Amino acid sequence: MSLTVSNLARSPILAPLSFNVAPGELVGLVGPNGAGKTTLLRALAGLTSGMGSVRIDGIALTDMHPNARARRLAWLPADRGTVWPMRGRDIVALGLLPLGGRDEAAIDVALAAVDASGFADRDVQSLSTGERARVLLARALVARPQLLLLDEPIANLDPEHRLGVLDALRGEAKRGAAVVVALHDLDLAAARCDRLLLLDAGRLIGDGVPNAVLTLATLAQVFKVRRAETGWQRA
Amino acid sequence: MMRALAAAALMWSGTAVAAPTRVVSLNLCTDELVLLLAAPGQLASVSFLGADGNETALAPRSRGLPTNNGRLDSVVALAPDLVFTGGSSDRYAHELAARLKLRVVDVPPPQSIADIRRNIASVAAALGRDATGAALIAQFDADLGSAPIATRSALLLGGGGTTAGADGVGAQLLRHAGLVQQDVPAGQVSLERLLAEPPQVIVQTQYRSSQTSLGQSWLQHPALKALPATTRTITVDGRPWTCMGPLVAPEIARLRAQLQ
Amino acid sequence: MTRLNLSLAALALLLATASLCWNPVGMLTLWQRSPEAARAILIELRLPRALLALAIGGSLGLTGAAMQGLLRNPLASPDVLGPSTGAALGAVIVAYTFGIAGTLAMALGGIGGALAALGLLLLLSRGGASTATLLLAGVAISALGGALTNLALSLAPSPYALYDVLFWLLGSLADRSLLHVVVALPPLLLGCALVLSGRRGLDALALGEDVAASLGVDVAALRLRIVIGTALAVGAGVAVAGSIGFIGLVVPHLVRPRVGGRPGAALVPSALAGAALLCAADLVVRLPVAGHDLKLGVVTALIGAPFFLWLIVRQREVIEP
Repeated sequence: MSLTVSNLARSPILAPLSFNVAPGELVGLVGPNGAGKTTLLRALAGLTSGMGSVRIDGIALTDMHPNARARRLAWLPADRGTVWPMRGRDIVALGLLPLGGRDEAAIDVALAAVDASGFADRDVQSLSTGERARVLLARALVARPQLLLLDEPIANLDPEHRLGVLDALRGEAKRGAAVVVALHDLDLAAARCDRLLLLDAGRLIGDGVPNAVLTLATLAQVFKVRRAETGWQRA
Repeated sequence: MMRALAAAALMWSGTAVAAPTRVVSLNLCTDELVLLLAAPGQLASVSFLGADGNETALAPRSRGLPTNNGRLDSVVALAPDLVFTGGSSDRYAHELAARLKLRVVDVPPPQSIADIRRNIASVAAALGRDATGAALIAQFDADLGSAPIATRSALLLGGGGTTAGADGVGAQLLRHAGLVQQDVPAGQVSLERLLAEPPQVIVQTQYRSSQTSLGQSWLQHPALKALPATTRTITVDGRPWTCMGPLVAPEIARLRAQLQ
Repeated sequence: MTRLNLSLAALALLLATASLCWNPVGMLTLWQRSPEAARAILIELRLPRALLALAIGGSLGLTGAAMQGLLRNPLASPDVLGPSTGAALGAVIVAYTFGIAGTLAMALGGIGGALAALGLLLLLSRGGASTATLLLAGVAISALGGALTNLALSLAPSPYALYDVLFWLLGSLADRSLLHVVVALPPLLLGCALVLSGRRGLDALALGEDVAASLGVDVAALRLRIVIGTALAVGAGVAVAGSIGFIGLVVPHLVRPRVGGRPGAALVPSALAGAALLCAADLVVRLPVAGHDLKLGVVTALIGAPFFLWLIVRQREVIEP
């Protein structure tokens, strides 16, 4: 499954941009607050309409039946809010709706992949933010879609689970999925992603291997930070 | 202040006052009384209900008269010299009347047949038409007749199952037609009770039958077809029963004739 | 889940049977004295009463659960957000302003009014409104609907229209006929079927409209389906039984813990519990209280309002975002 994006724009936030993601590729989407990461992910999921095209295996999202699209891609919003006192397991089951059935084995696999099996039967509203975030991520993984669009899946997670979640995403890529994941942790993004897309003020200003994208110059210009012996510092 | 009150009290007492010439009635039930009792030219206004043929058979007599909305302030401009209210408890209206030194006669709804006679007499006296009042009372008593020994159980039935109290003026009137009003709590009968304990006579009042009313449609419920053959339903004009004033006596006479 | 449905259905049927068999000694005596009257009471009065209690209670529970699921808001319900008031207004305008008598006309007026109120509510809450916005919009729509109803009644030809309607608006199932059942049930059941068909979509909406859309749910179509279904069910119900509050608001909260909070899964049990609750309330109004006739809407509010206050206190952190 390949993702082809050409001249995609969402006025006034996103300027026209083009890139491709190959099957098996784990692509990090980085950029400062307000760069347009969330807007780009929503556009890739087909939730907004506008200029340009998004194609999955050559077929435009706009030409797909909503259910066919839902079977190919999963989108995880950055919002971790839930309204109803649902069990984690029932939340994850929602991810299987496009496939039409409930598959307890698949739910168990997805919960285990994000280390959420221990509280799968608890009301999600009684969970901590990080625990709830992992349950919601399991919902996106459970149907094993070919395209994963994840908005800051490791925000609110402790260091161990950040690594665990990125391992799980690497696993998804290994089975052939194309993964696009918005990240704020530049060290982890550089260490774990095959490629980075750098957004700044709605423009795609970097697309390549992490070392080529996160240069000292871009760090200073775009993120206004520099790496010092003691860690990150404001530039 | 004291003098003003004394003057008002004097006016209220109604003594030594010449026959009024600009009489206003604010209530359907006093409308009926003044339309029956007043001399030509004495009336200045009746309520809008008194001019509505759906409400009273006397509506044609009020033709040409200005109507009011039942509130004192709507008739002040007519400079009335006598105002009739129908059991009004509106304190502001009374205060306004006292301030304007208006002569107000309140005619409360009758609780008994004696009250009906008393209301006729008091309205006639206020209008300076005692002789007409006496004649109307005599006519009323003649129509009503002496109460026969009431034998048949009955329900005076209005829309939605509203009915009269067992000892109110409605029940007293029915007794003059030979009917005993059933004792129904809260003045409201359900269809179930009607079927379970049917009276011998149902006096069904018909009111505004040309207009939509949930209450009137209640009277058309299909379950009423199951009333026993021993129950006789008599449909009567509902208008005289609204006020239960002098106009109801001919209805009683008609009922009595129908039941004989 | 199925066991929950079965026990709720059994409870509703039990209460409906109790409604049919009310005052059994009196009925048996009447049967011996006058079988025809007893039959009329059973078939012409109690059967429609029990059927309407089941159908209207069920539709209130169902549409309450559906509105809460659709708006992702535990305070949503037909009587809080305006559709009930709109239905009353529609029925009053048809019957008293245009003078078109009859149950069918009032039902159609009720459906139209409920649809208008819901349309206005969705317009005001477009793009995901907060609880506060939604409730304020509902309060405003209810107030407007109530004022317009009073205006229509004041302008009605009959001076006693207001009095006539007041008792109807308080809610009652007494003295209804099989005609009411025949007229109200088709739109009511059609509305319920429409709402029920959105069950899976409502589950997906638990995570928000965008996630539901990404899961392949046509959110706009789902919203339309639930709005039209609710308008059909509530409009027909209000036209026949008046305004019966709190069932749509409270029942989903009773049911939700037993279905794991899933909004779609709450629909069927909410319908069954609503049917049982209205049947029970309709038994309560028949208890002799100092010889006075209690009104159904008064009883459901007396039971529902304190319960709801308790719910708000208990779930305050859930309701306040």
